[in-house]
Amino acid sequence: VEPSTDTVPPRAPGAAAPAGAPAPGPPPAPVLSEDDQLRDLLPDLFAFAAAVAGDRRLAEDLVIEATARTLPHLRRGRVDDLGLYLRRAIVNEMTSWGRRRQLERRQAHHGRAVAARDEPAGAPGVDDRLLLTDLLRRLPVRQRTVLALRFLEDRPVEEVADLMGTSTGTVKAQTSRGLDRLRTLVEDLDG
Amino acid sequence: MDDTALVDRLRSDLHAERAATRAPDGLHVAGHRRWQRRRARRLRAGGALALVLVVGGAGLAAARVDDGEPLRTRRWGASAVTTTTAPEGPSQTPEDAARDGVDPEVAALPVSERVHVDVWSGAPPEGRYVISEVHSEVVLLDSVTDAIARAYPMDVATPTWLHVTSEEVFGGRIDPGVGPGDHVFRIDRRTGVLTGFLFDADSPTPPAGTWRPAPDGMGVDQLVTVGVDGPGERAVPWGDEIRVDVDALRSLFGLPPY
Repeated sequence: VEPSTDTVPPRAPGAAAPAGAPAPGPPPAPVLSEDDQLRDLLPDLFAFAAAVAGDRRLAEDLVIEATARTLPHLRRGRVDDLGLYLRRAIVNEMTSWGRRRQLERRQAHHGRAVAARDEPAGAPGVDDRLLLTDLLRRLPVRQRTVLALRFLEDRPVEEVADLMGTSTGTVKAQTSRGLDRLRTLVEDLDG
Repeated sequence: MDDTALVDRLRSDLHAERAATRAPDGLHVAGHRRWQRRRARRLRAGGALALVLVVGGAGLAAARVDDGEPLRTRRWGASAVTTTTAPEGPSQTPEDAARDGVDPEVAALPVSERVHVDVWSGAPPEGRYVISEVHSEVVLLDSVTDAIARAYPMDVATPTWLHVTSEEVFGGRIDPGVGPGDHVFRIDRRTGVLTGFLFDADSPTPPAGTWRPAPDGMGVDQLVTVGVDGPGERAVPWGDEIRVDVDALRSLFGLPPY
């Protein structure tokens, strides 16, 4: 639901429409509070953050951080598209140096834990088919972000480029490299 | 696996994971709290800075000349403030103008037209000492009202530096190799009286009893140095960095060193 910015006060019940007023149309969309807007966006936002981060706890922190950074701008009326703004904040946060380090540490820890757990299991079978989302974590952050925006959020190349602050050519190249890398990983595991 | 199959599988896996993933409740509330904490920290930091400035200012105000402590040099740093908040109207009464030797027409001007704060001494308790080139004078502006408490017409030449110590305000001009007008002066902070020495025999004759020629063989550069690396204490300059030898200056004015 797109939040309305209509601030015309409601007419008292039963009051006549003023002379010359346009014919009544559909009722205006309800004005969503800042809290409601954020709550509505959270499920998709968290899924996106989880896909990009590949780590649930880091995804939570990314969403919290993105919200904290966006709120002051939202209060000042500088945010046109809140969902896009929050995603951009997440992408920026993920590609920052500090976050990359945090992610690498977490992934190193996560990788050791998974390896220790899965070692006796052998190759994945039909029922425990390896999800590509697991392999996605092994891609560089920007490739992972491009793939999440394109195939989880189904956004066109132009929109991804705008959101990531890069060119459409770069988005296409990152998509291609990311898919190549995924294919290699799948073939290595299947082969 | 071709691209289409790979993309289909990736899309399917991503959507399946999204369907299975439930966002924790209250993430936006946590984001709100994080923002509020940062904001509070910033406000506290701003408040602490303001407190330091206020306490520091109060400390300086409390450090009066006659505080009974051993004499020592005390410097009040300069600031970038270049305006005054003095009320409109004559900047000095005729009586005060006569006391200070100020032209009555100049005294009739409001402070805003008479004084431009080109150099100022910082904020010792009695106010701030200001060099103003408009009418070539040093003025003491009241610490509260910015009204002119004392004025010192500088007929010799506009000074280029000030230095406030516990007992006095030193000031002067040094233009090595440029021309006439080199001088140093001392304003007694207790009495408000200015005395000075001229280092140039060609300077206009100043009021008798207030200004004297510098001792033979003494150059202003023996007291004042232009440059960052010179000896002595840093003065508040109008232009290049200035360092002053406070004890040598005091000796020139017949006073013991600090």
